[in-house]
Amino acid sequence: MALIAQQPAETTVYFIAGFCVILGTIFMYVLSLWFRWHQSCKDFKNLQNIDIVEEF
Amino acid sequence: MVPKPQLLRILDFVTVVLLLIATGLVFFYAPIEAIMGNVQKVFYFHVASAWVGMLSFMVAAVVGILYLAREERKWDTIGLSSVEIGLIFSIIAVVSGSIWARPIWNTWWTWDPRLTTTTIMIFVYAAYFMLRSGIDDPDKMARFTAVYAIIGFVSVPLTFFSARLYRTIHPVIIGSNQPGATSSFEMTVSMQFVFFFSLITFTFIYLDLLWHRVRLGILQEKIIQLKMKLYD
Repeated sequence: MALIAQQPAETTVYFIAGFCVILGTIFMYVLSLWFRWHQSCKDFKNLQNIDIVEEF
Repeated sequence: MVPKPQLLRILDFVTVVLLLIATGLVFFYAPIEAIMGNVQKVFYFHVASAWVGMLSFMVAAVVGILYLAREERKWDTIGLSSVEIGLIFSIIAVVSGSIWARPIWNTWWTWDPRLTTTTIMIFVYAAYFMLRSGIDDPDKMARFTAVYAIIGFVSVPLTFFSARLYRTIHPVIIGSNQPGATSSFEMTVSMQFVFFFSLITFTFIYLDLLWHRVRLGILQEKIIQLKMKLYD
């Protein structure tokens, strides 16, 4: 009876921490992709402009 | 500049919706496990992250074979992108597993066969990037890393089967548990639903991230070509 009445362990803090790590890391990776994409677009445009100027 | 494809926009939307639903299911629908309490819910995304890690490394090995057979740069770009995503998700799986282990095993880390093989797998794929940065010739780099991705894939089944082959405290959810496994539990029907939904969601996340990362890789390739043209 004592076993049936036993409550689950109080582990909510670890649960929240686990989800913060999982979702936070995915979000950070998406953010890094976004930054790298925009930086690369900028670099590509600059290089294209230099290429056009050099052709002239 | 190539505009974002319509199909990628749809995939972005579907992935975000699936992630929101999966998170909602884990928080509000999945039952609280009788002994471990709320922390057991980490399991849904922990396993899904590990699945994405292994799937990514498998894709990297397959495209490695395709690169060696056809020598087309796109296979190298896909391989690099897949390994990058796989490494991120494998690290997520290890860290989230460690957080789950703390209240259940009473330790953040133990040199259990599953944890050890996962760590080896992570180091194997971290070395993939070191290898890439150590070779200047792009064709040689692509060839070497394709071979490395194929050989490195040996660590993936080793990690997957470690909890089934060796004496371990890490639970095996699909298949039989080792007698000494702690934190194991029987999945109810609602737990199984959330588990498989999470696996599907994370597969979508992988596909979406892979597409974005490959687009970035192609753009970076164009930049390198343009730089080479300007310096010549």
